Amino acid sequence: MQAVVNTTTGRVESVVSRRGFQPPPSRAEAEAAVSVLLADARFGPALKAQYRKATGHDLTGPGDVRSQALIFRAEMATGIPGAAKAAACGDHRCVQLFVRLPDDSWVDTTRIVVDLTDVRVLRLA
Amino acid sequence: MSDTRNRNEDVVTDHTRPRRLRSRLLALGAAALLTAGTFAAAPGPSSAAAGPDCSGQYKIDRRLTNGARWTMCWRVRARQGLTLDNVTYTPRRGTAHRVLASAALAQIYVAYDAGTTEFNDLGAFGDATLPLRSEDCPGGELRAQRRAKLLCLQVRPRGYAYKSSSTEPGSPRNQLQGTELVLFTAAPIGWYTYVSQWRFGDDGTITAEEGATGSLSPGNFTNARTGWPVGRDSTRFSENHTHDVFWRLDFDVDGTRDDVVQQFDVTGNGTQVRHLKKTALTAEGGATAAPMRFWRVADKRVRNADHHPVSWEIDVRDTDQVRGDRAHAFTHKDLWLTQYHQCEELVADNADGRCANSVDKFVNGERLTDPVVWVQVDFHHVPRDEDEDPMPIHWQGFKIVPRDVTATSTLP
Repeated sequence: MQAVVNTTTGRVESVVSRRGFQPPPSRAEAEAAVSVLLADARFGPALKAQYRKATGHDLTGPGDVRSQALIFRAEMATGIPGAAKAAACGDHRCVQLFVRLPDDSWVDTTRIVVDLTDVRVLRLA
Repeated sequence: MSDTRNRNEDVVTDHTRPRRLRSRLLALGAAALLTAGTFAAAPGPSSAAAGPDCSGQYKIDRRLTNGARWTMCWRVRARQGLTLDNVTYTPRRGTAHRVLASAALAQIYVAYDAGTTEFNDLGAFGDATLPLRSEDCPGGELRAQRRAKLLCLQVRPRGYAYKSSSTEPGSPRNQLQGTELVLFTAAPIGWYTYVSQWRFGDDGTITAEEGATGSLSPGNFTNARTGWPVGRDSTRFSENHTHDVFWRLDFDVDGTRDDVVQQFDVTGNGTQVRHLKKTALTAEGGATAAPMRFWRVADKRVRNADHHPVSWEIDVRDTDQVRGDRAHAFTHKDLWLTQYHQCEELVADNADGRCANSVDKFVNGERLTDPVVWVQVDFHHVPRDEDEDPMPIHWQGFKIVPRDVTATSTLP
């Protein structure tokens, strides 16, 4: 749903609902997505190992890395092997992640999507 | 000089047009709850003002070395980033001329050449604009929005404004070193850092530019057909990709009314005779960039002292004209023209339930009485070894140039 509020008059000017529109992810959602990644049996240990190699310390939580999330919808996977795994994205709240470590190296997150609704990592391609 | 029909007595605090009242827009996900708390959570620069706040930090008023003056308001929005409102030019010895009611990015579409990775950067990310530090803005001034110093304002030298042979070297009118007002913000979006920059020259020229720096994708490696080897020998082929940058320009040439759009072409090439051909663009539609082609937005009533319509020329000269497939029809024109609608903000993923979702669908046959011009400038990036982190900044942009705003040069 989208509501347009005139903050001067205090009136709701319009309310419309349409499928497929999603607002940008919040900072909290980006960190939640990193937490999902860390809890994943496959990607969590790999991320922790890369972090340890980069910093010499153990990764304690999503606040230790710089993260950014962007909205992912099913049609963005069109043509990619494994696209069907992301079929619910759009109805579900899904994000792609960009993760940078304190030594400025990037974590390769180009093949994964985090489904925040189902709280799991989807591997595409 | 123009007549004085324009209402620019106080150009930077013009909130008088009810049509432009900016409501706060809240796009709520399907699962979000409509609560009073949710509504209250989205204050703009000032939740009290009906239009964009243009007081204090948000007001820009600079007179350049030759006396030319630029005034406008700035703000940073969550989707578009840097947004300029009420952009007004006062040439030396001249009167104030409104150029743009509003100007901002309208999308950055990035597509990788193997066809499986693409991003609409605006809207998919949240507010990414970075606070700047004094070293980011040498000699300039940092401006804050809600206490975060997001905007750098500088006046920079731009070399010769003119050089004359008509006077003795050393005499006051022999040459002028030009200056320009420069505004920019920086936003990390994914692996890239984008710099949104506007330059306002002492000759009235506006240059909109988007710079891209940061890092190449850490995961998009392909082959020699769709990439370029950036690792040792021929092993790691960084994937070629395109940056299609779109701007939304809500022109109000000397006020909202009477703006018309024209396209100019030259008939014939490979000949010594070239005729200028003018085409009126009176309805919504798209146009394609071409050599020697330009457009202008003119006020059909306001004229300079030579009785020529005051107008602003749009020059799109440096674009790779990257077109996507039919599902990406918003990329199919270099210039789109639409009638003003507040809810038409982004060329793709507009995501406002009151309007269509992409600019090609905004175009639905309306007559242009209050034109919005959407400009697309593309860069096909074939990575080089030099682009390894930190990638040198690359720029893409276009110009808006005064055409008959003044009856003579106003530089000296």
